[in-house]
Amino acid sequence: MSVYETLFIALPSLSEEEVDNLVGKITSTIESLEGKIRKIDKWGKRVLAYPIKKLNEGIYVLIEFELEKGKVNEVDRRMKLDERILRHLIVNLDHDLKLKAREEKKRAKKAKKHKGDDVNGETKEEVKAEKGE
Amino acid sequence: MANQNPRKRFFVKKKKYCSFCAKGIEVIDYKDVDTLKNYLLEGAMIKPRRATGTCPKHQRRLTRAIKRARTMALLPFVTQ
Repeated sequence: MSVYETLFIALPSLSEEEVDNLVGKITSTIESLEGKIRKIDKWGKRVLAYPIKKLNEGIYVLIEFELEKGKVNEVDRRMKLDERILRHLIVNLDHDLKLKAREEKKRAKKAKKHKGDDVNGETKEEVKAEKGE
Repeated sequence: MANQNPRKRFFVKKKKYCSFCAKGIEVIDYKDVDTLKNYLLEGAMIKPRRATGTCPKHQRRLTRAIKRARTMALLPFVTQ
């Protein structure tokens, strides 16, 4: 199983219910392929950086999911066929997640070091205070 | 010392550094439009490394992120 992320732009003319329907359709296709939905994030309407099909706005939706590697093509194909989707992008997050874990490890190490310094600083100050007394 | 020459003293260059390395950022997200915008020139071209000081590793990730953002109409390909 790999972790994937898909961002797609839906037609701006869709109502909220229709967007929900569309998201439901995609999630159900993922689930029918024995995948898991991790999170759904609806960004709402955004102005596009450039017009697509003569439209200046689009509804952005982000879905994160887990799926077997060979089965992503099917999701990609179905999203291509859906006319309500202006554009979509599927990204594999495996490598990114590994890097993020590494990043956090480094940060934790740094935080620990800083904490150690603080503790030392405190003890020194305390010693000084004691001496002063 | 190079600085002994009085003419050269006034042209000490500020050393550039990779801002991603400095912050300890490993993953550059294509959805993070605000930071990506800092690495675009006027016509929405990607700033070269010599202009920003980004290290090769992060420049590669940056270009990938910018190109992904462009396909999803988060960033422009060209601006006038």
